[in-house]
Amino acid sequence: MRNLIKADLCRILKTKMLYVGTVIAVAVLVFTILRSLTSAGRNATGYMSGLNSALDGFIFPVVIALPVFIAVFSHELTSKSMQCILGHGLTRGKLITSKLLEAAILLAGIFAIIMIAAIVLASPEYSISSRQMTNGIIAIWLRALRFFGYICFSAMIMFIANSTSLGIIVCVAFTLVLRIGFMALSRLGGIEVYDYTIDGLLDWVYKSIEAGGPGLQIIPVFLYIIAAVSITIIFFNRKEFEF
Amino acid sequence: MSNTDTQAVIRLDGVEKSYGKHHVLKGVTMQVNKGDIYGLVGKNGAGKTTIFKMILGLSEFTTGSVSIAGSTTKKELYTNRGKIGFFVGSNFYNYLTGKANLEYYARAKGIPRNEIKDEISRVLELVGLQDVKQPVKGYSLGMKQRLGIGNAILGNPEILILDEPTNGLDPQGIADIRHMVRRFRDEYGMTVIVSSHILGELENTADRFGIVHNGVIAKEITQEDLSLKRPEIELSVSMDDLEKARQVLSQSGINILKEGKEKVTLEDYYFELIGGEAD
Repeated sequence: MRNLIKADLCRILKTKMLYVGTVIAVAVLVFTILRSLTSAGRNATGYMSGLNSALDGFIFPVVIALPVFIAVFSHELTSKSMQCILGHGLTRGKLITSKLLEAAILLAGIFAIIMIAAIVLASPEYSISSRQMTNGIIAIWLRALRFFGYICFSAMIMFIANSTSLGIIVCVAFTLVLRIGFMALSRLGGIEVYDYTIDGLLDWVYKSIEAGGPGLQIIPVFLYIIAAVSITIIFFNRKEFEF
Repeated sequence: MSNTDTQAVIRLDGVEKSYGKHHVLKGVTMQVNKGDIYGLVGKNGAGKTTIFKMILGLSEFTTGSVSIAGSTTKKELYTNRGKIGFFVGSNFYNYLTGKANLEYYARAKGIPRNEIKDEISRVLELVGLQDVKQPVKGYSLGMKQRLGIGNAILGNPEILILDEPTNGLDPQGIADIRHMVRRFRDEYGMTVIVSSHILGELENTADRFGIVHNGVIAKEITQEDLSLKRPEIELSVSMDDLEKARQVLSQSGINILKEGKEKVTLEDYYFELIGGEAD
């Protein structure tokens, strides 16, 4: 399993899209924070408002979640490399877990860069308290977890439907469309579905932590992810592979 | 080699596989011994590829058992699958070069980092792709087959499985692969299972054969069995000596059962015309 992760990461890290996406994400972060500091004042409120706007915007999913999903999964079905790996004795559960861990490692790497950029931008002149900075960092990592959730669900659909295109479409839907849809349902129809999606729960976690709470709403988020991974593995265990 | 050491490296006992009501394998029992070049013969759809899938764990069998290198538990079976190198079609990332693909699989197979470069050079040279630098998407079918075989032999596996390795290849390509398969056994000590529906080709490659028919191994035979099946002796003489040979044989009381002109094979004719070699 460790060998496969190493091999995959060496291959995936040659994907230019990941680097382009990361550079755009950092540029968006810098631009949004600086713009917010200009409009809302050069203080902690301006900084935090800019950081949250950047993380909440639609650019991050497009330049981070989607490229990570494509880099890890887009060639898996067409290359038939999975057959080759399984034939060498790796169990199916370990194969799926490896692929998802690769996505997690890539997201961790990208969000570590974003976190460093955010810290560098946090000049002492803005008087940001350590509590505010901690919250900002938590917001960054909750965003990473949110994207990981999207990727797990998209991978589940991709493997069940045996279609890379469908996986990518689902990833786009999770990152962009569903959120808007659920929010619209909440606002227009009064149906509070959004709060129970990964997005809604993670918003809830952040608000809870911001208010000094434990953010226990993160537990169902992990349960969602574990469910998606388990369903994928169960399905994958029964799959007949074609050459 | 197969005559002196009969340790079973792959054994299937009563393996059955059904897809709904369709029974693809109806109790396959076969044994491949260390050092064999075992030819799996059968028409398209006979179940050759399904047998490979069972061995490699890409499909679960309905009943029966599979043992690799003496494995008795499921855990051992998974572990021992690591001793198999296999070619079952092109399993490559098309946007990467052949070398980059082999690097990927070498890492995934756990070949030590400091050995990967040398191992890939050795393999690429063995399959004749050492000078090819383009991505796999630009490869011809023959080049993909060669790269697939290269991937199979990465890390010098004990067991090599080749599913229809000569499919779609030109005569030179077929001859090259036949030559390679023998070399893997003779020089590297690999046990090889190779499948094909082209009987003539397999006859020249393997030394034991399993004939797959209607989802079972209908018969297992050796090259020796093929010779014993026709106990006549063939005597070749040139056309100039034909009459003299008839007289000598007749005077010695030897009956001539059959007389015919030997045709040069198309393969021999082809290689004589364009150069290259069959073996």
